[in-house]
Amino acid sequence: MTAPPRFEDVRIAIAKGRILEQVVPRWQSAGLVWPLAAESRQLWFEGTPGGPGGLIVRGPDVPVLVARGAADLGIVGADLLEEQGPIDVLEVADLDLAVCRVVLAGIKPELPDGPFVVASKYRRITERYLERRHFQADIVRLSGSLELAPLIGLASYIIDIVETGETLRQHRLREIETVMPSHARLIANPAHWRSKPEVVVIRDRLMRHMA
Amino acid sequence: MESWLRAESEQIRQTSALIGDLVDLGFSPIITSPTHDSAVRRDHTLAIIERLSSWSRASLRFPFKIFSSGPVFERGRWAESLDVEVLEDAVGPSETIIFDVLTKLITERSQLTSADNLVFVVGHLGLLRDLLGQCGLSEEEVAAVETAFAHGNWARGEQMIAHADAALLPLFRPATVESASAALDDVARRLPHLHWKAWHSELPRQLAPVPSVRWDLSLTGSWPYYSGPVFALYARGQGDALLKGGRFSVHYQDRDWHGVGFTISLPQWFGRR
Repeated sequence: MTAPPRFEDVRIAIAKGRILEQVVPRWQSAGLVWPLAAESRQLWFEGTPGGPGGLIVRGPDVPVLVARGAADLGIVGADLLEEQGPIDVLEVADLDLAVCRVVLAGIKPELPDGPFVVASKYRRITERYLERRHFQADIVRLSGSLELAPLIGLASYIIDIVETGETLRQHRLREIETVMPSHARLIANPAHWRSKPEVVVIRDRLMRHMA
Repeated sequence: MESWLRAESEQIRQTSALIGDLVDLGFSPIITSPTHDSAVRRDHTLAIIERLSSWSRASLRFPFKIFSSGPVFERGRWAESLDVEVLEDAVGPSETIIFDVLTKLITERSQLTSADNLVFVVGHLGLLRDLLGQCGLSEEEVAAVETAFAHGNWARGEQMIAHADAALLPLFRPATVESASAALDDVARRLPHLHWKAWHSELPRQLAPVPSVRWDLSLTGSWPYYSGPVFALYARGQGDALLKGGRFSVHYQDRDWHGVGFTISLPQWFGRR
């Protein structure tokens, strides 16, 4: 007889914000226990026989925690995985949650012509995009409020993540080109994936309850 | 501080014991440099082959049983490791020698933790290529599946296989030897040219002392020179493999080098991380 999965031995790191909001209903519909109240500010919870434990962390930290084995699984945007660069994790599912896109935006809806300045929080994604499109640009690295950069003359373009594009419109910016689509990815620590059968069971449960 | 020094001393003592075991089993040390021509050593196998390539083939005694120790630079940091190789003058049955060593080392390693925690996972690039080729995938498509798995994009590899033949999917996730064999038997009934038992016979029968052996054809190894069986040893709860290895073929300076080997990550082996 097969032993029941030991969910309490599994820990999942989940990116805060949009991804977390959309993961909770999926988690619950997969029959896994989510022990935190909606208004809770708690950043972790223990695993139980009914569901794995959770770590609620900043998005860029998810791949690091999974690669280091501090979490068995992680849920993070494809944009942040790409920005992280090569790291020892397995991408085991596209969860089709938090669907958005990284875009090039500017005040005028025109592609750059000649050298320009672009502001972004994504250095690696921006460098690779500029190389792919043969654009010459200086990159201004900002950590947030990118929409301000063209308005105050800091950069003529931004590369940022958008879901509906409403924030861009509110700042009189136009979406020019999609740099990459992004949505939530389920990642796994390779050692835990291959040595803890319940990690694979949780992946399958989360996939079976795709919206 | 005291406990850290004790742990460091213990790791040195146990590494010395591992090296002593290898010497007793007829393995010779090959000393390679961790840096060379402004490059850092990322892998012992290539460093060993580079070092041996100055000798004529006639001066090498095949099967040539060797090992190299010291740090390798991987994932942005240096990691202490011990690399064990058996070189052949043509593709031959060196798995037997390597798995004899592995079985001995794993038996000793299991004294450090509960043996039930150890999981030995085996993949096979030859079987993967044969299987997918017989399902109608082109060489380019098979290479794309391999690349997806080697680069950690398991979901992409699974998607491509599902498109070719969804019945193969259970073979690309960790499964007990019994259930993987049953799945391969089912597949072989539909693919009469798939002689998977011939591939399987390359794999060690002497792995019996390892408590948990699993098949997973998505395990392809991280180096492009792997060509046949690949394997990794994990300890449940540890986030890194204790050792990784496989059969390899390397073309270096107009010579072909074949063999089977593995690298032990020493901190993981001794459970220090």
